[in-house]
Amino acid sequence: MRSTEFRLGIAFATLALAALLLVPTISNEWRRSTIAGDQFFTLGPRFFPFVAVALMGLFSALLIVSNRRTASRDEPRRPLRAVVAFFVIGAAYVAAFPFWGLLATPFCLGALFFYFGVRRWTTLVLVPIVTTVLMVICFEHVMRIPLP
Amino acid sequence: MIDVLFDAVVSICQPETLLVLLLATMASLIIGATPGLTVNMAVALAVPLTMHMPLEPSLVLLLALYCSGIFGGSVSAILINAPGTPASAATVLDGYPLAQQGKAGKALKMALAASLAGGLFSVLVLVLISRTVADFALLFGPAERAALLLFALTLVGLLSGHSILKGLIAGSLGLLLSTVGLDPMLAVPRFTFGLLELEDGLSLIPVLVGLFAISEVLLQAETRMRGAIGLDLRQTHDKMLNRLSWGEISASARTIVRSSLIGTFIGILPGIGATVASFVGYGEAKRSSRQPQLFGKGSLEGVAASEAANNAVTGATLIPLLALSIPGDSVTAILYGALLIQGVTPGPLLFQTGLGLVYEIYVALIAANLFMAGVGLAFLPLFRHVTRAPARVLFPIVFVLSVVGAWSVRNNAFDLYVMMGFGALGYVLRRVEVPLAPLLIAFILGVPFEQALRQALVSSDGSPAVFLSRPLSAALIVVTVASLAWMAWRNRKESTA
Repeated sequence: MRSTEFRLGIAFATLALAALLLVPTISNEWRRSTIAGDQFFTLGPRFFPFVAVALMGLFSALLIVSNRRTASRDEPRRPLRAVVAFFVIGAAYVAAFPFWGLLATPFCLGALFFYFGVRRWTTLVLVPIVTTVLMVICFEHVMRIPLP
Repeated sequence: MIDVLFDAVVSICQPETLLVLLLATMASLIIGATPGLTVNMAVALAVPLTMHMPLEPSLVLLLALYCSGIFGGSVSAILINAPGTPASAATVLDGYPLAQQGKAGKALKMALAASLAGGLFSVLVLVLISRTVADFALLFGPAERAALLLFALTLVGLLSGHSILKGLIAGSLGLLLSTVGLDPMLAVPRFTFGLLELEDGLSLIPVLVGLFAISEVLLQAETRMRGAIGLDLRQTHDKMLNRLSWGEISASARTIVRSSLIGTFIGILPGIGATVASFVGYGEAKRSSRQPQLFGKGSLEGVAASEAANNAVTGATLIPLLALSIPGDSVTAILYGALLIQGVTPGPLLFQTGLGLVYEIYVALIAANLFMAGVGLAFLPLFRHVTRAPARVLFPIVFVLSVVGAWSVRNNAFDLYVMMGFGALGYVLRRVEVPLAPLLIAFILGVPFEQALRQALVSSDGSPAVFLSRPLSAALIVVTVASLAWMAWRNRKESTA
């Protein structure tokens, strides 16, 4: 099994390659619509993205080469289920937020508390409601930040 | 000069600004004292709030979070053997043994005194040298600016993590992400995929909230947020044991001054930061101590050394930020973004056109350090409760605050998606030990770097010799290449050893 560094190098090299393929999609129409390029030397909008992609590709290649013979360390597998669950609940909240606004907040907090093992009903119900009320007071009334 | 200073004092001493300072200091002490809640996260979460505040309270809020948060990290380091911030990791070595001996109060007071001394010392250095550095930087043309930014980006990439290449990859990814949006010179869309929301580039606040706050919450979710925080509190109420005498402070005075110097020097250099400063300060204190055998077993000098060094970084990191427009670490990169949002561009011109603001920053930093001492002293008996906060309640609240904060910037659902995307990216990168600081700093400095680079090349008809024909830019290029070569050599030596 290859080391994490080696696989990381491959991942970033792939990303650099994908970005490299995207660089030519940046329009070059500016050459026709401006005097720049016709009358004096200039550098177009593709220049800097190309530099960044080239650097990423170079460093990724060096990471691959320097770890080509490194074996994978025996690392304990990290539990991903809870992370995925958190991300899914969070993504649902983010999707609901523009439409439901802060009404979605106590449900999200309650769901997260429950998932992570909170069983006392006072914490499950009261903390989300009090947090939401405090957020409304703090953002909308004190700081005058409009929320959905 | 005196009138500018007086105006700055008056504007910082307004009641609402002082109230913000007090609340921010209290909040940052609690955040710093809570393992898992980092200073980066606190400052990132505060930036959306500053968009809706006047300039002075915004400055005070962010600077107080920065200064007091670093000290706050020592609280859990001393009380529960878990540093609240990485910068307090060295404090654990002597702070926790002192707590086990029933001297937690004494250790916390020493940490507070050393933090105050280190913080004020670095502000003094900031006041004394930043104007000179800024005046010098006014002589820079595009070639020097580009070379300086290249040097700073390289240094941040080289020094931010355990692996040089990972730091450099993170930096190049940051540069690539900074190109999203309209080209800064010709206004041609790049990597926007036809989305209008991307034409202004990736919005800074969702990016940094995602990278620092959401990724931290996801990392905490790995452990299912079990147990959390307060586990083994041994602070006693024996007043005699916990009294800190002047004699004990004066016995550590030399260590505090030395560590303050070390922290300030390290803070000026981009990319190193408070964690390294505290370990270097601690190591140097142990080396030159009359009682080195006490280090690691509960030495007050050890606590003083690491805390003076890590807080001395806070003022010093503002020297390159204010004078050269270069943020040296993640927090100053976030501060840089917050200043830009407020319409203030840090850099040498700020000392010509906005001297009042520079003085306000000085006064705000001094006030933040003094409030840290006052509030910290008042909070000492309460810290035991802070370290007991249950993570499974705390982190979901941090998550919803992040969402509301990202939304409040432009009231735009797209920003929420960007925040979640960068949260996932930050989580993956942290899991594979790719440092986030080079990514964020390169993302922020990408546009000015591109402008300087292109201007320099255009002025020389595309010849890269422009960087070598001017003495200062040539020197910076040589130093950059030398740093790269030296770090590569050292890395190779370490891997073969």
